[in-house]
Amino acid sequence: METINTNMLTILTFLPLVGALFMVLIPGNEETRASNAKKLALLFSTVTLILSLAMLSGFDASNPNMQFELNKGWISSLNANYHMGVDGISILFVVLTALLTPICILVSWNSITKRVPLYMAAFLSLEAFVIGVFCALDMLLFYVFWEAMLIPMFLIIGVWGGENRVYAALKFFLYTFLGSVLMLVALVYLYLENGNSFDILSMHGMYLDTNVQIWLFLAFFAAFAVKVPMWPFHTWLPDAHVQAPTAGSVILAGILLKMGAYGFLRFSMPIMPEATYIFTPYIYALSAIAIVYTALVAFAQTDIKKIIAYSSVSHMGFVTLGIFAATVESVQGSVMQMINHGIVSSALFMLIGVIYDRMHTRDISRFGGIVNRMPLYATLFMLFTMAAVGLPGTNSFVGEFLILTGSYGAEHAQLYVVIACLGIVLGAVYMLSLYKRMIMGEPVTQEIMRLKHMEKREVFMFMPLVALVIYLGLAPNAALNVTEAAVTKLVADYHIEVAHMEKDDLQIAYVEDK
Amino acid sequence: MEMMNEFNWYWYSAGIAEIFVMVVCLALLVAGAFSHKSVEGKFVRNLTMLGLFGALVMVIGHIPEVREFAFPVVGTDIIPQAVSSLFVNDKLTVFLKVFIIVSAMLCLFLVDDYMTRKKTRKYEYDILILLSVLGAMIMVSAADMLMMYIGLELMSFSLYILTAFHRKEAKSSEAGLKYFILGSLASGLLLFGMSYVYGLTGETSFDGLQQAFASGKGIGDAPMMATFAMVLMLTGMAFKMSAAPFHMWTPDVYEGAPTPVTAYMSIVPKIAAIGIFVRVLFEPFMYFADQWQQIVIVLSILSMAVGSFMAIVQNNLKRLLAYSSIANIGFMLIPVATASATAVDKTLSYLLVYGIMTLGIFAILLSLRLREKFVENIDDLKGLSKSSPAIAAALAILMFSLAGVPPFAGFMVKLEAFRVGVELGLTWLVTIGVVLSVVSAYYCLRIVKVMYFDDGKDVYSPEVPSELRLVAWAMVVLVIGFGILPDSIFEVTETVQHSLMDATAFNG
Repeated sequence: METINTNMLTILTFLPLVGALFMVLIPGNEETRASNAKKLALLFSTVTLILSLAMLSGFDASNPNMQFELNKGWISSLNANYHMGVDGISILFVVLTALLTPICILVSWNSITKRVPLYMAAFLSLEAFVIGVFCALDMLLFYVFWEAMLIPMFLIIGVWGGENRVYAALKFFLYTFLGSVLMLVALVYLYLENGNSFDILSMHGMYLDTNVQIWLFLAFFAAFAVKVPMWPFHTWLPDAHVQAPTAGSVILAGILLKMGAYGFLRFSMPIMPEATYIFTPYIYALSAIAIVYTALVAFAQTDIKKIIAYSSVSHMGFVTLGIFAATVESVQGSVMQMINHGIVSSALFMLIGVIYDRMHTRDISRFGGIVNRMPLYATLFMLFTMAAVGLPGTNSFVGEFLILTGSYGAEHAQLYVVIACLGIVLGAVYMLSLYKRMIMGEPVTQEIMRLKHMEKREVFMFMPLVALVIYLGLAPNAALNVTEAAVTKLVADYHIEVAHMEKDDLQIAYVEDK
Repeated sequence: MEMMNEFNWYWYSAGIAEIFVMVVCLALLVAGAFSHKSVEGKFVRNLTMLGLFGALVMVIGHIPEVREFAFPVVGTDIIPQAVSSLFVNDKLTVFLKVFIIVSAMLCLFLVDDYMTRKKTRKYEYDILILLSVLGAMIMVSAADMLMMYIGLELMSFSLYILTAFHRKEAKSSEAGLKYFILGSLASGLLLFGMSYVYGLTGETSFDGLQQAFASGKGIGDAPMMATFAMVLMLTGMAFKMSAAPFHMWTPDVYEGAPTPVTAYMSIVPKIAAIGIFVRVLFEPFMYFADQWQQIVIVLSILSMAVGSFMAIVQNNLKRLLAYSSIANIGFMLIPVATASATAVDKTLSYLLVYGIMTLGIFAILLSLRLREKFVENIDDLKGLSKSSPAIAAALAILMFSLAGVPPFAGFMVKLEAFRVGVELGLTWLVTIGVVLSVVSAYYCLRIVKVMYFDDGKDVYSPEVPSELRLVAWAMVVLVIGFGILPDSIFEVTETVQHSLMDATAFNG
């Protein structure tokens, strides 16, 4: 049992990668390779999911520290270690990744027809790298996973995307790469300051001059703000989402966006608390702009996928607001909101994929009255629309409510919380209008009346998400309990550091007065 | 200086590997001329390989540990390590020479198919390669300005001829002529600088120069003069490395030269040029570190910028690789720009991995033929991932590595170059470097894009010579292996770098 526990994260990370390697080796002609690749990919990702659930069940929620830890030598000349571990914050993302990958494979079951083994290999390696990002406790290891993840995503958008996929793929890669390399410089600087060690945990709470912290914060911000994405660094996202295949959008919205916010929690707050504190008002402002502005932009879109893409930026605005407000409730709410957004936006992208597979258009004017033909589809769409607008009883309500109440108590945040509340109303506006125009009313074309019903596979792939929306909506403690201890520790440490800084400032002011 | 007076045959044996290569060259010239037309190619090739292998063994024999193991009875003095102040065989030279010889051997593997198809298979090719290897070996072993110059010229002249090897093709002849004229200019500048240095100090050996400068000799009356001379020498060497702004010849020569020559040219002369560049900066001119540091920083920034931006607009693959080599020289110069001998191992490890990647890329290019014509343009790669998925995957991995994306070796060496930059106070230069590495990622991605995202109708000629495939895959395996476990590279280059540090410390 002990060996399984220490190696659990390694298995979770590398099992999908092994699966990806298998894809290359599948023999046979194109057809058999395709069908075998799908089955094998589903098998590997399902086993990963089961293992991740097993890990979740063995997770001690009361312990705020790292668990399932493994620390082995890796590159001795650099003093980089293979250090893996999860705490209450990261474990949920690992499970979410493991959950969404098999769903993505089901989503692509029939819609992807060309170069299936390569596609499946890309998805499995993406899963591996993303899990690696959430588990890595060594900065170099983190960076390797963080960057390696770009390769499969680049291929997914570029090979299987829409008409403008090349532009979108290159934009996605270069935008994220630019942010990441700036982080690399900061990372190297931290490494040297930390006595030639890449260990993330040993950097938590290390002493850094405030000016240095500001530069480091900005460098990390470049990487994370692009990834989240925060306004005004979000312009790659609509392109990437619209051009990516459905499963690509699912994984992008469901998981990749969370990596940026996770970075704030794992790096910015604990390592650069003073800079985080100094930049908090600006982040509030950017978050508030993101919430309101992108909600308005979403309302103006005619491409249904773009609506959901912009709504992601808006929802992630809540997350950054909550993280930087830095109260236990707001950070808990942010983590919760990330999980919720991972579930809900994934489901919405999948719903769009279902209809796109049938009608091959995403222009909202071509839809209308779908409820007459596909009632089950309309029901699912209703549920996830409600979840997206944050109706009480759905999971999103809990996250948004925690963020807003938690942030209201933080310094200087009141105004932005009020603006964010406005954003919730706007969110309801564009989601409900989307629902009305797409689903309700009389069928606008004959084509709508000829739509095929949802297949068993399609219904089945939504079921886990439906269950989670309701379960987390009614019993949010299931998630909140997991994150509580780790978040409490994070926030407490952060406030201690900030208090130190203020005390120092007061002392300096006092001395100067004298 | 006592030893110079006792100069005798014994001391010649320090250059045993070089002498061996020279003898092999001369013998092969005769053998090639007198052997039958139908066998000469094969015959000379085998002997060339044998000669290179012999040289490799002799070079390895200079490693102190090997010597102690190999000559337990007669003692390690049987072959001297250095001819004082003229020729050295420290760990740095051994490393560079092994690198040179192995790259040359691998490059020779790439030649046959191309030359046979172009009907220009001639045995002189091998001998020219061997001669340029000899020049490169002398260059990296040089401890004296004249020795260095002789090596450099021997290497360069062989390369001029190799570039124009397809003498019936206008492009090839043009490239050869261009390379010759510009190369001669650079050699002239180098020699000009050397003559000034000699005039100021009366010394030609690196040791002597270092001591002279340290004692203020040659600086006192006209301090600018020595700096001026050094700048001239650096210019000449920067030209040979193709560092911007002395890079103008590179794209034309890369494009015009026969592809196997381009492959060779983008590795071996670079090793020699960087090897001697580093030695000259850190040994004789260490005294002027403040001055040359600025020059190297400018060379580095310009090379990264020019290489990365110009590569974006290229359509010809060889031109693109030429600009890519310029950009990579820029990255390699970041550790040198710290003006600290302890950082130089990062340049060497970068160079090593760059050599691996370049060799892999050229092996792939040489194995691709579209409608029986060798692939020249980026657009020729359209849809390669469909017609030959394995080769496309290999090229994609090499390209991602060239762009510096983990988990490939290109990332690890870039990281190390950036790390020493930050460590030794050049954070701003590193920041410029990382931003420009994003620009250079673009052209790498463009190749992946063409192979994977674009549809092509053309089918590539199926039969790929097994040796090309072998070299390509070996390089891909190395790129992945060193990307995940780069320790061995860093350990080797760190050991090697000590000899440079010792030399700097000893005389400085």
